[in-house]
Amino acid sequence: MLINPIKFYRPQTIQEAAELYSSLDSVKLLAGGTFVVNNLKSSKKAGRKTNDNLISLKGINELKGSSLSKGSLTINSMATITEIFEFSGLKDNLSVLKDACSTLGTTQIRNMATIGGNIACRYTWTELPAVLIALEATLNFADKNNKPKSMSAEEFFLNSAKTDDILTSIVIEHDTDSFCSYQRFTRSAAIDLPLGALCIRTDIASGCFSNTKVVLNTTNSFPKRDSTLEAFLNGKKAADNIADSALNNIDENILGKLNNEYQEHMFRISIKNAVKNIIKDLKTK
Amino acid sequence: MKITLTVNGKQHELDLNGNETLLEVIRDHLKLTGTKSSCDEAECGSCTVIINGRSALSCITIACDCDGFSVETIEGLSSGEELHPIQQAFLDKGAVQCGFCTPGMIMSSKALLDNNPRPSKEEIKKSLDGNLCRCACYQKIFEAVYTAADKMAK
Amino acid sequence: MAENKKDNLYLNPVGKNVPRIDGRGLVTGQTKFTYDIKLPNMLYGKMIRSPHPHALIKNIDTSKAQKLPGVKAIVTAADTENIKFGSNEFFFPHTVDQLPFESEKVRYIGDEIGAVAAVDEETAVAALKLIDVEYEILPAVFDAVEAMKPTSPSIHSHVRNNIGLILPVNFGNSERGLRESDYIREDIFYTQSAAHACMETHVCVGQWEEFSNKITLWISHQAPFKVREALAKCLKMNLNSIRVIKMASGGGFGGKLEMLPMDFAACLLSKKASGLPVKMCYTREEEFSFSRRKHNMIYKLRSGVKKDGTIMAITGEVIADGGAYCSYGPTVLAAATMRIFMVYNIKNLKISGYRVYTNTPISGAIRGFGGVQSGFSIESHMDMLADGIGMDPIEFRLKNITGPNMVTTNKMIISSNGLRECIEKVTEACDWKNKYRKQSHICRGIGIGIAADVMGSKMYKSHESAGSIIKIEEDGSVYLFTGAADTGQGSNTVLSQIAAHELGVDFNRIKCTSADTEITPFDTGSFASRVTFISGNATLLAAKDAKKQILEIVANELKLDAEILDIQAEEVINKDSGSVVMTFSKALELCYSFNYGKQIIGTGSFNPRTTPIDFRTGEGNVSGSYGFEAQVAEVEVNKETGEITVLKLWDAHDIGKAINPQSVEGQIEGSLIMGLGYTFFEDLKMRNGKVMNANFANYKVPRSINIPPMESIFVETKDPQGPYGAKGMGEAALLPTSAAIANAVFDAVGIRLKELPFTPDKIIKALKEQELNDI
Repeated sequence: MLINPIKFYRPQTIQEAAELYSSLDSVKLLAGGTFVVNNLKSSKKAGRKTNDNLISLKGINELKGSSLSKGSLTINSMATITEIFEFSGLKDNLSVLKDACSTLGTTQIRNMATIGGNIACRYTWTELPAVLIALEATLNFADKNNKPKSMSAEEFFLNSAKTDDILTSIVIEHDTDSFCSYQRFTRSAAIDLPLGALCIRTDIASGCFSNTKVVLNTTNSFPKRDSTLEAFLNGKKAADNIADSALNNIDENILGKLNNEYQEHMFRISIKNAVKNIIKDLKTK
Repeated sequence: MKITLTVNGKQHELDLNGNETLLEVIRDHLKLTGTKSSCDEAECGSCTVIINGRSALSCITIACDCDGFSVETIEGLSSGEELHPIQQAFLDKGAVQCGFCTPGMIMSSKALLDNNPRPSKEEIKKSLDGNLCRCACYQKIFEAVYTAADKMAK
Repeated sequence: MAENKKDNLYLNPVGKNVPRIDGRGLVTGQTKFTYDIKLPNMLYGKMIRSPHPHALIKNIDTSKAQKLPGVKAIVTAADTENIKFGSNEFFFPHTVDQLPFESEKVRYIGDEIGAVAAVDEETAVAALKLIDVEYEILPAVFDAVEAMKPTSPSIHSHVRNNIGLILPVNFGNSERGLRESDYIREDIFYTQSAAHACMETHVCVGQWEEFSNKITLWISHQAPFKVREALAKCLKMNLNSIRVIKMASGGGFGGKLEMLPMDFAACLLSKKASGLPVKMCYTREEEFSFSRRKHNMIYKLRSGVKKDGTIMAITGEVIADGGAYCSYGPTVLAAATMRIFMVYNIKNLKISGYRVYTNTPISGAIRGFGGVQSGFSIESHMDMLADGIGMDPIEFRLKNITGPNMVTTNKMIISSNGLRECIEKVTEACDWKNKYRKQSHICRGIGIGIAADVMGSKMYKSHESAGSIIKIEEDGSVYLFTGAADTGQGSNTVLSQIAAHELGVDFNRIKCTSADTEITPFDTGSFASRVTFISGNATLLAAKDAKKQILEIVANELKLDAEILDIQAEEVINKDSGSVVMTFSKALELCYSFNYGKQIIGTGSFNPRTTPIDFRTGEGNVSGSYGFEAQVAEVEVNKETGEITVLKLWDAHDIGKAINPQSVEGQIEGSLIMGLGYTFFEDLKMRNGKVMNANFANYKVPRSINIPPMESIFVETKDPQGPYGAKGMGEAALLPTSAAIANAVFDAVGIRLKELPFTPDKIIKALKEQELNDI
């Protein structure tokens, strides 16, 4: 056996899942399995103890699917990356979600992995957190008593808030006047985890950047907002020269902490390209 | 834990402990050894099967989590003497060398064509990004899938 | 009728794209690999390994593990004859340096000191934890240059300064050659270690039959006869007491070319477990950490040319990191140095090769042997020499290359040689004239690399012959028994094509059984691109022999001269008149009829006309024939991100004759992609003797999205010795790839990359340095 003995549960409702989750010790939630099952195997190989109980969320229909209604995109937490990528409503500010999903892992991984797992696993190098923060996503949870709770994606990641609640859905407002760009780079031409990723989102008001969010994911810590660059961009006219001058207004504390010259270089290139793309999108609109 | 698993159209009632991967059930319980494991860390794609119409890695799927699901493996493709068009195309185009990655590669290809019957060459390339072939038959594999799609559409 | 026969894939199949003879089982998943073997009462084995890179073994205590329920056998050096084995023993007896289980000293993390067999893998792993080994840790050395210093710890007592082998290749007068040069340059190139990363890891099942004292070993392998020989040596048994059966094998690429301690362990454990079969299967982590790896090399070159482009001398030094034991080191080193003579017609060459021991995993044979490392170094260096005298790289190559029907300075006998045609065809195909030095404004460039390849080489034995037997049954069905090991390159199919074509029968009559040491004749194995040429010739001879036997009976019966008869496309024909005498089926009936009752069994043995290499001088004709190629890469460099996009690869290849064009193309494309991976991201990283990226997540191999457009161009020079004119084709296409790309990058953006792999950070660094230098 590749995995240690485990008691497997497959609840059919969120209520059931919450009850199980609160009553069991040494328990892990299982979404797509691309992290959890891989870890169970590698832990056993390494001789480490693993959880005694596993609760799969795959049987819960309430947690499946996505919908776009009244300008609000709701993605239930067990929606797979492929399902999100193929969702036809991802336009305007939501298109960065599609971009991030298209480069995540490989085909099979995209078919299995869920947005919920990508968020809840708390790994610093996962792809979607930066995008969700930039899009001002709201995360909905059910606590151990199945009572609903909410917090912003930003609060969840930037505050490293630990939670024992079950993530049920992600809500993002569809904003036709919002422009976003997602950039991602790796250490070589091979398919790889990101060496860095970033998402910039801005509302263009009277031709100027406003309410800008610049979220950098340096992959060794949770995504950070570059408030220096945000402050620089806000109020500036969305013109071509902004991309280059933006590079002089980055929070050097974030990039300065990187020990990797190439990574730092690529962040600068990516920031420039993200700003350029936003300006290009604005022009074509 | 008792589960029902439909594999290649045949329903199986299985009594499992809970910690079996789908790959272990396919190979050891059902004795279908076409599906392979080459890395056991979700990287190589040799363990690829189709679950509910989508390609998936059986080495990181818990078998009990597939209760009620429909699973397709390489053994389910040909019917008697006749090979599935994808299998025939792989042979005709020289897309098989050592053959170890072939079952997984064919299942990924089938999953693609089931969902996208006329893919472009770029779409074929992208959809096979989870299947490693060290003999690097890739170019001929793309041609085989393209040819099979053509044949199946007629 | 004739027209149909021409179109028929299976009649006169040489030169046609006959589908894999064993393909159906592969596409249906029905073929059983060694990985799939499950025998009744089969045990699972694990190796007992050293956790230290360098240590003395003081004591091994297996008593606790013996008591663990489910453990059926434990073996250590005490259970063996302590006989060493090696891979280049015939020519280099002093490189036989490895014991199946070390008893006194361990030399790398993972060095094997014994093995355990248990009812399941989990129990075997648990047993390992209960084995107490007392080590006295010794200082270790992990870098080849460091290891050569007299102050470094000595890894093997039979050598000095950890230099396992020196190959002092020295021909002509290089000092004078350099003096007479108009332009001299010096360069150092660094090539990284890499892994075979076969899809099927190393795996075998050993079973000891007590009453007959016979071993059967099922194995995923390229050279089962080599395994048999090593087992016989270490177990002190006769060759016919050991049966090694090669199953369908999921790749080899040079990594499955010798006996590993795990193969020995499977057999010995079975003996100790009263004959229960024992399976040894490497996990992916074990495969990366404890099998074989590519020699990382430092390649120093100092060469001189005349203004007119004549190469006056090539000198240099190669330091190859061999890891803890010798494996195929000598052959790798030879390939890294002597092969230059196959490509360039030069008189003066002085390159000293050093294979150095370090306390790291063992370096061995990997596709291309040392030709990849030298291909990158030499072909980059050549381009830089051409640039130094303002000469076009194509013109420079054409001025200096070898030609047909010549003897090289180191006495290699070249017969057919299509190198000139390869260069001409590839430069035409890629539109060299309109692209070279014309695209830097869009950061695009084009570069060439050329190479030559052997068709076999006497590596570990005095001979390297291949044998084939063709047995024709009464109903006309045909057995082909060949020793050649098909690890996916399609040799079963190609050899069956040769057999069918020569016999004059439909390909579908043939059933091929290969690489079973008890049934098939001897064959040294699948390496050095030797199978089509050597095993192909053996098959041709066997088919000729079988046909002769049939025709003699037909001639006798019809009172004709056997010389005027032939079998073609299922018919016995009179060559003089062109008329059909009888069908093949009728002819066979005749052979087995009352008057004759003759069993048709054709045999063939072929040993290529080569001379032993004098490894003190580098002189000798290593191969019966030589293959050649010219490769061009076109790239685009993104100066912002450092990404290099390969726009296209062209490979013009002198393959003599393509027996199965689709298979040849598959080998070319497969090699090109492996070359691409080595150029851009394959890198086996080690720290303090431990492999740090022992998984696919961190050791990157090419995937579907990495594949550039490729074009294979065949140059068919019809080799006089090859079967139907064919040469071999298995590995050459990756020899010049890194250099072609490096040369293309120079054309595109003017930076010279001398260290592999070309990851984006290196390109950015080089571009930044270039900017500073330009200021």
